Amino acid sequence: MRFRVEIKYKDGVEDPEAVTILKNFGILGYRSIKNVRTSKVYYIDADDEEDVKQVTNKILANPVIQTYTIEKVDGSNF
Amino acid sequence: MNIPKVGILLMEGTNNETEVYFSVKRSGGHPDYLHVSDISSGRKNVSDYDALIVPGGFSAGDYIRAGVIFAARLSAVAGREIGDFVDSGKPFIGICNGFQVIMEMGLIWNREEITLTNNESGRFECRYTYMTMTSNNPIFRDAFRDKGPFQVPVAHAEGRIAVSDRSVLKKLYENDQVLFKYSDPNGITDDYPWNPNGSVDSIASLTNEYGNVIGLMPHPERIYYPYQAMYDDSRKDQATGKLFYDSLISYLSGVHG
Repeated sequence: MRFRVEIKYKDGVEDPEAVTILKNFGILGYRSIKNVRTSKVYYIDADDEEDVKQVTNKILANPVIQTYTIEKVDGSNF
Repeated sequence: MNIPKVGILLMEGTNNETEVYFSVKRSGGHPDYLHVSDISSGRKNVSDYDALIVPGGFSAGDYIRAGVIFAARLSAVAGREIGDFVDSGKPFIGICNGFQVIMEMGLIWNREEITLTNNESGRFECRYTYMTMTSNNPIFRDAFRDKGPFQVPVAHAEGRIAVSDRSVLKKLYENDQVLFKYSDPNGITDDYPWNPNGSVDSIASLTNEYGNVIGLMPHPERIYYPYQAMYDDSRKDQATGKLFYDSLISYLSGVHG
């Protein structure tokens, strides 16, 4: 099975990468762009969904500042 | 004789400007910092300088891709002026992050065909290696050509030169655009660890077709004095960085070239 794990900052936590990119888009004149957020996506092949949940919760995500979603995806969709 | 004026281009996140400033100064040039906002506000003009250097660092945090934001900012505020500067034959040098900037600007080659990408090791490589001059570039040939390997520090994660097709590499050699190659201490072009990033043909430095736009991943300004070198190089009379910056200032002063 293939899982798609997406990790992003919780609302209200500063996303320094997005802040820097947004600021530079503004300087370059792209005035219509109002907000940028980043997230990181992992694709993981695993037999046991529980393992994916555990590594996501314990290793991939920082639970203080980040949230995550785990979904099962079509194996060809990489 | 006029003292050559060397502009050091800055934006948020460049961090090697001080070493470049003092290297230029100690080699007899007149260095000056030139922030992109100095250019956009009209306080400073690139055409007032005899050479420009984009120093190393992590411009705009190196988010997205190393150098891409600095390249976009420079192109936006002074794209045409930098084009004119380069067309006039004045040296425009990018070091490490600066090399990534001038590659993103397409000043050395079409950016669809050559890129600087992630090191093959998957690591940030921060240490010394050696480089050997392989071109006939007039700025550096007197000091480096046929003089063996020169110790240089490297510190980068995205320094691997990759080409879309071997024919591009062939053209680079035909045009004499391969300025320095990584080598081992005996001057033999070699694989990792001497080639720190997995660059094609161990290439460390490229120039444009006319030899005046120069990009290199190693940091000559971090090895200006022999005491900054390791092993045998620490006993040399002159360290790599002094030779590099002396060559630039001497060229700009019309002493050679």
